[in-house]
This record gives sequence, structure tokens and C-alpha cells, in this order.
Amino acid sequence: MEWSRNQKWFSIALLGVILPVSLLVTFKLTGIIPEPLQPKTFRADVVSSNITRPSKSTTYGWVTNHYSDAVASVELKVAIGTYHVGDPRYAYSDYLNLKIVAMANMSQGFIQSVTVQFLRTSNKNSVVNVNEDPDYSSTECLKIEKIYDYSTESEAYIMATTVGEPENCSLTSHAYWIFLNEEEDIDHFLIINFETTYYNGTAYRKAILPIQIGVLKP
Amino acid sequence: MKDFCRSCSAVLSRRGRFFAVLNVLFFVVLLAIALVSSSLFAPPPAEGELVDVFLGLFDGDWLFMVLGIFVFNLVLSAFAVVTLPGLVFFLLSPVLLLYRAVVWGCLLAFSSSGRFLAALPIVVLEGEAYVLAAVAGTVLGLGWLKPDWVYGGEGLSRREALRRAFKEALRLYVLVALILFVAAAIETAAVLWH
Repeated sequence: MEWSRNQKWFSIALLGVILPVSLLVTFKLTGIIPEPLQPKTFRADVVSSNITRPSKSTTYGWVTNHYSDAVASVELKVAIGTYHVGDPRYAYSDYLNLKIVAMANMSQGFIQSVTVQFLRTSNKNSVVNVNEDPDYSSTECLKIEKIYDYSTESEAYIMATTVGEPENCSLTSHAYWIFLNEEEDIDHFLIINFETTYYNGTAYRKAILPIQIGVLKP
Repeated sequence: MKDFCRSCSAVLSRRGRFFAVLNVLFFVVLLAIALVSSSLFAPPPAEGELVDVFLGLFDGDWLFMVLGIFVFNLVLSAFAVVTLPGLVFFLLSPVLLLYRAVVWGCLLAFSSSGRFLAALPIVVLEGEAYVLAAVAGTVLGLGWLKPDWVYGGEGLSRREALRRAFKEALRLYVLVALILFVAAAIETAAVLWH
């Protein structure tokens, strides 16, 4: 009697797992519980700016890229700041100051998330150090989820999600592009991508704005 | 060792009805929430992989990953979040268990099919472990608050009932730990294989 009572409760416990899980799998695979949507992606043309590697500290200017559609307007501005020669903070390596200003505005719908990626396209003889000091960054309607930087093996990025469902957001950050090689006879290229995922009222979209910066051998 | 294993399964048999009810409730709530949230909210855009987060955290060391996931789930997710509140007040364990079912239902509703299927064995195993943890928490809470409800007819004092409830909870936690270890191994394999 004891064993059959235990069997009964064991069977109920087992059915309590098998039935709901089977239904969940069926609903998921048949689309009754729909799949997350792959947002349609629009990539703007690359805007490039090259500088020749200077022999002394030199300051440059802004590079801008822009994208807009019926409801969204996205802008990426990168200030190519001062090129520092032989800085002791980075083992006497050269580095380039970058200021990133990224903005997105919607007339309808909302912005869901933004990412700024720093992609080294030519070689891995440099690293990008994103400044995590709050005094050197600011956000509007964004929460920084992750900053990943300072590795020769992986690309650096800043990942942020929006607070609420805002129509406008902006991100300002500083990064340092550090050149590890002591020889000056190679070119370095960095693509800064600003990815914005937004909902336009009917579907999710993703806009990618690239800016390429080149530091060329003298 | 054999006697200890027998005593662990004996405790589970003794609490079989309560375990079965909580088990059914947990998975039914998970299914219901997944259905409700998928019909109420627009599906979000497909997200980037969480795999990179795990790999970055554990630096790709599989053994460290298994142990890390196991310890985190056992100490924090099971004991601190589910069992310990039950010791304070017995109803908190089942309530927090069902809250977890709600959260998991939402997460599963908005995950891609591939990620959903990969997570399913982990969800089932960890779900079972947390149900057992909730049983342990409820028994502990009732042990000092209403000893007659758990040890009816034995005439135990609150202190004796609580001591016995601790022993029962310990035996249940052996099963919790076993299940969570297997779940951690599967989760690590899924992350590394992906």
C-alpha cells in the first residue's frame, strides 16, 4: 500500500514535468510561442579618415557618419584627438585619444539597445582601452551593460541598453588606441561601429554606422 | 553509505505528495507564463549569445566552470533564495519557487528555438532541484512553526521537530546537490560545445 501510494505520487510528479515540458516544446517548435525576430539590418557606407603617424604629439579633428530613415536618425561622431608619442603610462607606446559621441533619435517607436565596437582590421599590434571612468563618459537614457577592452585577442566594445523605451538616447565615451609595435613601418586601421537596435512601431531594425580611422606609416 | 542513500530516498517518499504538488505547480506555471507573455508582448529582437559571457567569466576552463556553476546554483539559487526564506516562514519557499517559474517562463518564451532546446534539459534538472529545495525549506519552516503539520501524532516539541526537519533537509540537499552537479556539467558542455 505504501509503495503504491509512493508510486502514485511519483507518477504525478513525473507527469507534472513531462506534460508541461512537452507542450512547451510543441508550442515553441510550431510557432505558437513565436521566435525572436532577426532585425532587418541597414549598414551605412564607411566614412574614413587617415592620419600619418606623427613624430610628436599632434591634435586632429572630428569624423562624422549619419543614417536616417522614415522614423529614425542615428549619428556617430568620432573626435580623433591627440596623438601621444611614447607615453610612459603605456610602456612608452604611442597612443591616440578618441572621443566617441553616438546619438539616436526616433519620431516613432523606441530605441532598444546600442553597441559601440572597436574593430582592428589590419593587424593585432594595437589594443583599444575604453575609459571606464564615469567622469570621462556620459549617457542619456542608456545603461551601460558591459565594457570590454584591452586585449590583443578580442575586439573592444561598449554595450548599453535603454532605460524605459526612449525615443532619444546618446552615449559619449573616450577610448585610447594604443600602438604596441615599436617599429613605425606598418599601417594601423580601426573601424568604430555604432549599432543601434530600434522598434519603429511595427518591427525591429538595426542600423550600423561605421567610421574607419587609419594611422599610416610616415 | 547504502543506509544514507536509503534514508535520502525515504525522506523523499515521506514528502512525496508535497513534492509532486510543487513539481506540477512549478512546471505548469512555467508553461502558463511562457504562453501568456508570448501573447501579451511583442517578441524582442534576437539577442547576441550569452555564451561569451560564461566563457569570459571562467576563461574557458571547463572544470572551473562546472564547479562555479554548481556552487553558485547550490549556495545562492537553491539555498539562499529558496530554502532559507522557508526557515523564516514556511510559505516563502513555495512562493519564491513559483516566482522563479514565472521568470523562467518569460525567458523561455523569448528565446530562440535553438537556445530553448539547448536550455531545456538544464531547466528540467535545475527545476527539479529547486522544487526539492523548496520542499526542504517548507519542512524547515513548518518544523518550528507548526510541528504537528509535518510530524503529526508524534508529539515532538518544536526543538525536536526542528532538529528532525534539519536532518530531513540535509538528506534532501544531497539529492539537490547531485541534480545540480549534473545540470552544471550539462550546462558547461552546452556552453563549450556551442
